Amino acid sequence: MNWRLLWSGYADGYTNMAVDEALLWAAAEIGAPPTLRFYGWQPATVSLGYFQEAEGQVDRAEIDRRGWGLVRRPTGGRAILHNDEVTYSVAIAEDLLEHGPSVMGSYREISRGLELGLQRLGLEAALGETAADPEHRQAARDLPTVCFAQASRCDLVAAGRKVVGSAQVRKRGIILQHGSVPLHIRVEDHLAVMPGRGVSRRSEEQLSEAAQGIAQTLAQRISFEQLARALARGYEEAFQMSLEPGELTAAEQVRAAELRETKYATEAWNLVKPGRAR
Amino acid sequence: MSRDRARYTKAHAWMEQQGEEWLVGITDYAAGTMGDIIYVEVPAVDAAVTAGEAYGNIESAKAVEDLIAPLSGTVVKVNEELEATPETMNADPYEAGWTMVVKAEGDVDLTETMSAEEYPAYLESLGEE
Repeated sequence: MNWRLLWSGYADGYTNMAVDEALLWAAAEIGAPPTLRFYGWQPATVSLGYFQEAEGQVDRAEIDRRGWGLVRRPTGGRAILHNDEVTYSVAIAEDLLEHGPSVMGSYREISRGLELGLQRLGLEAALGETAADPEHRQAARDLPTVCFAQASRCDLVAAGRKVVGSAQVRKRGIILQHGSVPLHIRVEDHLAVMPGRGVSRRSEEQLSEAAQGIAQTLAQRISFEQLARALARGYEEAFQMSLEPGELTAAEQVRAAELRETKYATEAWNLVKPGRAR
Repeated sequence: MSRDRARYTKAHAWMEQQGEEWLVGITDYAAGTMGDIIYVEVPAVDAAVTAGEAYGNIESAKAVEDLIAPLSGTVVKVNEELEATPETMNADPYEAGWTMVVKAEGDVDLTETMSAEEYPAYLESLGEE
């Protein structure tokens, strides 16, 4: 089965998350084909994981001062500053994957396209195997909330650094997995908008070492298009299919507009951590 | 709870009747497919839940997934401990990792559920056990 390829260009965080959720909806409700989408963020935006508290994780005043955005994702994981990066999303039915029912299995399967794509650029990316033990998890919660600071099991790692930050949401037999592939990471920007519980000089140094984008790691100029096209080819290779460039359907556009207005652009969604089912 | 007496759903929930109420949780298969569970979102007491629909969310290191209710009714108790110790759902999904107690709405339709003998065969049909 061939997949649909969407080049969505740049949009704000509300639209980006609304379109991703609309793809999940379309796969579940109207049988949309598996879809691979690439997009960017304008303005730069901090996305929070579904269960993250905004308070204490992000500096909203600094985000506003810079004219940046803040949005809560439908997926798990930690906060990410989306700036100079390519973001991918995949919406696919569980039963079209070999390891659909397993979170880790499907995550690895979907990440294989990224792995092959990055290898096309000369980056020896591989899926990490480091298991997250309870101490590691606790440390990750206490550290500044920078997603790229720490690789967990199944993260894509190259040159000892996490190079892709991904997360999933699964609903009604459909998996939406999306993630950030940074070209450049400016640690000072991350720390300015996501200070966490206070950052020591040492953690800033650790972060600069731990978190670098693809272009920095390769020490080459790489454009958004170059990276996205390499990842697209990686997906064709991993899934032995052809990507067919397409557009959002009218129904998907309507759904995305609704989700943007009623969910992702609202303070109720973005600022209130879920504690009881909404 | 008694794993032999409990009923199981295709969405990998278990439920055990305790008088008029049902104790609910997820199976060890479900917990295993999620990986390390790091957050759990359960409903409020008095919330209405509907069989086959989401009643909460669960997050592992990599995914957010719905918790699917095995029966319809009213939530009378939730496992508050899961907020602080979500990993209990991995370690002990049939005892300390329970999620909620539901007072059933009318007779519970068990036709779509499985017994303790049938559920492993269902898992096998999925290609995993």
